Amino acid sequence: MNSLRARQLVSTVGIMIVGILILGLTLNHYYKQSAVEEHLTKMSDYTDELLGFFIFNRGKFVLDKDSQKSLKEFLRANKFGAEGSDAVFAYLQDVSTKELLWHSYDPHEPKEYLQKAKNYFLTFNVVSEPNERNKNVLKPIIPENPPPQMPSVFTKAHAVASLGFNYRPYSDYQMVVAGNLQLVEHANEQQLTLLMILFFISILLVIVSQMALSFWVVSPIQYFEEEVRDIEAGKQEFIANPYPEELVPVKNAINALLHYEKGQKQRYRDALDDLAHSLKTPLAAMQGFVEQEQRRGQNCSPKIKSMAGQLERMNDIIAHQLRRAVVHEQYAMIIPQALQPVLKRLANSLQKVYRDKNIEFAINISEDNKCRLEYDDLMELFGNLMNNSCRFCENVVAISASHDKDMLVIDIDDDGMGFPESNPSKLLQRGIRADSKTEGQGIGLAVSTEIVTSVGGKIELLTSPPPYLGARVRLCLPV
Amino acid sequence: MRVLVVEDENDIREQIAEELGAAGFVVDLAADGIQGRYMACEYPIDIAVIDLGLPEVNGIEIIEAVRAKGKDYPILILTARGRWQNKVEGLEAGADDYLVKPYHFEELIARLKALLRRNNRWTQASLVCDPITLNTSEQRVILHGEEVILTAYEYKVLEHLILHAGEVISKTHLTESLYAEDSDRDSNVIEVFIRRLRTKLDPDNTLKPIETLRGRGYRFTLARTA
Repeated sequence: MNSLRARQLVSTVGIMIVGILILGLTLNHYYKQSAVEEHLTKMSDYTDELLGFFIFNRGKFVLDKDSQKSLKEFLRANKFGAEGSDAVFAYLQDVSTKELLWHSYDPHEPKEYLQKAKNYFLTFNVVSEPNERNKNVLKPIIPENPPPQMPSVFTKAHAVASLGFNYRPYSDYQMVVAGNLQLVEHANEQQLTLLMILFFISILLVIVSQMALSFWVVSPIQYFEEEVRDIEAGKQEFIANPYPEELVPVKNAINALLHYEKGQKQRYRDALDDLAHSLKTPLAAMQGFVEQEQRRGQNCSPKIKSMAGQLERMNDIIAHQLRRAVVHEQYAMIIPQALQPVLKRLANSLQKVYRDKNIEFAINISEDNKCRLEYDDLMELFGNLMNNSCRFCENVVAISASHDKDMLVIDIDDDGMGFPESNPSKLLQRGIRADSKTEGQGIGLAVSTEIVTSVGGKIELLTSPPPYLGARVRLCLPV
Repeated sequence: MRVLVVEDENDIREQIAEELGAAGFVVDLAADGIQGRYMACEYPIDIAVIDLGLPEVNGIEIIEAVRAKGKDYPILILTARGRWQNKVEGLEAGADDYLVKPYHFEELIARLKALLRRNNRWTQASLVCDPITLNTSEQRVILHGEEVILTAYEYKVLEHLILHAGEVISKTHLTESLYAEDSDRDSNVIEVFIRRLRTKLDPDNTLKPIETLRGRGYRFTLARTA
């Protein structure tokens, strides 16, 4: 799973589902337990209160007139004998014989299902020792001869409380009070339904919150990503926008890395430049000595001649290797450079150098023409090529550009003598010069070739079309 | 011609001084940027060779100071830093040409002479003011198709006058162009050279190529032909 958003969505939804389920079910369980416990306590309280109405006389439980009236009031007030989901009933039982000595159902108003089962009442498998209280959730005992249509109440759980006691020497007795738990179960079912509704609403909220997160939380990461892409594409140099504090260390680290890489190249260039300077100056001094010696002595020593050759070679090697090192150290992220300012700058300088020729520069390059080369390399590339054109032209140097897919095609034309017809590409090799009358190490074109190829471009030596008919150098450079 | 060489490397500086002296230049030397800047701005020089990598004040700053002072003599940059960025910076600062180390003396001298000619609107190595032709690369003077033998100093004076043909050149300027800063100067010598030149170039006193302007100096009067 590579998407941050997908990870966030899955983890949040997962946690929400598990969390809501565990929380909901636990709450539901405790709610039910508490409701049942409440019922059981109530039933247990009834046992005491009911026993208070009876008088034990010679092995029998009797009710005087007042007690009968009070008991009836009590039963009615507490919904004893009521039919339905909240029915409560009680019975007094001889524990040893299981005989029911009293029951809360009014014999004068028998309920339908009780009528059918008039030989027995709802009883429970509960035995309380004397002075022992029991509280349980039980289902009624199924009678030995059940009626054909068994009332559903027999299958329902009841909160059953019992209180055991005895009268010596007669027997052990227990008062049992039971309440139907159908209401509790119904409430529990409702709660579960509510829980499910809450669950789905929560999922919906999570998805909505995820969408909000995408805009609010993830959007800085998206912007960050876009900036990194822009850097890769060379549209900008560093990550510039402000970001939330969590992203600031990443931004700083990336910027530091970019600074380092850029600085590294600059330092490398400067070091090479210093090296060039420090090597070339003594080389110039040595060459000066050799030249002076050669001029002074008519019979110049062969050693001096040999030294002159070696110095030329050293100079050539230094110049070439230094250029190669710089050219091959291409920076990974290069900002495309506008061509026009570079060409105009070089043209102005070259016009000065070749003032005698009164060169006319026709630079047909728009401000939008850019190519992906470092500024220094652009200067070096076009400096070499335009200098060659100036050296060999009569008085016109023309530069034009056109787009070809993702390359910029630049033609540098002059009205000079053109390249030699046979194998002009040889001039692109190091050390080959088209003439020997003017200065140069013969590596200008070769260095240009190296710069162009290092960025995936192409260089061709052609003939200028009319009206120039001189040399044309065609460059294809990445934009 | 008086040339200022600003170069911190002793060997190179002395070599250039020797070679340029042999080529007929009067050479002033500066070993660092501060001295170079002072001499470039204050001395009556005709051309300067300035190294870019100098201690304290770099070559670019010297060139900028010279141009800021309104001096327009040609400046050749001599540099070991051969990148185009460096060359363009130097040219933009006000230099006229560049030469990358290591170099050949012939090339250095040829560049300097070309710059001098160019600065005085001459385009060829041969300065022609019919019937006199002065070839700067061969240092020969032709009059009516025949070579005129001149001494080194006579040649220098004539070259200076022809380069600035039509302009008034003061005696002081001529003296300074001929002699180094610390040499014992005698301005009467210039008059001697002028007299000798008149005798050699105009024995019949018909051409009158060198005009004397009292209290102001000399002027080469023949019109430029090429």
